[in-house]
Amino acid sequence: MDFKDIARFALALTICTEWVADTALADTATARTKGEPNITGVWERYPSAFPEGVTAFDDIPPPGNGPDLKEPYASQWKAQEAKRQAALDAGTPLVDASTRCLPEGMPTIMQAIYPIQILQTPGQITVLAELFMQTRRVYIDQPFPAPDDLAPSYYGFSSAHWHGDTLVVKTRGIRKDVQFFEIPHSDAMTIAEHYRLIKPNRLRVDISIEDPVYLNTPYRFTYEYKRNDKYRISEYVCDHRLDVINSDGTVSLGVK
Amino acid sequence: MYRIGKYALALGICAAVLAEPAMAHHSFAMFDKNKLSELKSVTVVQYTWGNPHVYIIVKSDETTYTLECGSISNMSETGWKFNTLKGGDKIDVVFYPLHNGKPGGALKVATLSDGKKLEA
Repeated sequence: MDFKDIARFALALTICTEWVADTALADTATARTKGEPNITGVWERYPSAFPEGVTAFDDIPPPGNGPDLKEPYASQWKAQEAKRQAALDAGTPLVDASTRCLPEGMPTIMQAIYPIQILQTPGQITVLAELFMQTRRVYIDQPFPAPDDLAPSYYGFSSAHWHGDTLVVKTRGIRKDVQFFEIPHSDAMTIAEHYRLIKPNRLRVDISIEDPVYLNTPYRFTYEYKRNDKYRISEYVCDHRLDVINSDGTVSLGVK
Repeated sequence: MYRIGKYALALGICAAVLAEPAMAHHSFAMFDKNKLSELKSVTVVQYTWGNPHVYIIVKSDETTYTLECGSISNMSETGWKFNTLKGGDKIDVVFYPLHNGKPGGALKVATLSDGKKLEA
């Protein structure tokens, strides 16, 4: 082994050492406790949030079979859906919360049209969404606040616990005007989520929305995500809107 | 090798993300998906890099067209950068025109002065 070989070997050793150190650091940085599954990471919907055949020109349909609403809410919701579709067909889409750049809130944030980042730290799970730079906090082993202390909000209060390898989250206190696919809900709505790593890089959440005032049966559906830690989430400040919201509730493109 | 495999996988995922339409902010229904308009050698008046949409304002003769593009992350994935265009650049554009006939649309592809084609 001449000097060149030794130098080459030393360089290779240094690279390997740094690589191993980086990997070890990455594994400990998640600060997990009690051997829980590691769900820290950047996640993108898989398969895509846009079902097959749905293009940018269409609205994404509600997941699963849609809500089993009580009457008259079922008829009202269907009429609103038809109105929205007719407006799309006419090329004059109706305004919605997203067009106004309002946060999606719960459970829409979990739809993850753009990737989401989940951070698992002691006592808390944080969901950071690229879309509108939303932040959702989920508290581990914390009781719900008293009803008087639970002011309605976009994300409500999320209380979670680990049940084996499943993260069980319950959320209450969502503002009535924060709606998932325009489905009405009451103060009594509870969103239950069960998160499970079905493969090291695949996360599944089974969502069940219960609302004794509006729903006959819980609205159940599933989202799956694929880990993509190479993806860096961009900032998303919604300050370059071209669309104009007209007085009739339609949206058009502001042209010069 | 495992690392390389993972990297290749990540690249694959990026390519998959790239193919997404992802117009999250508002419906695309104001644009005519069945029609494409083309303008050759128009002058860039303004190029704005931001969310919810990047947009390009171009001038063709005396008409000013407003062209909406994707979000900054969609655009980055198809090769656009914050400094891809500047005022005065000459480009060709293909876009889905507005239903209401106003001068504007959703950009589909732009051909830059050096011949580079970028999907929006």
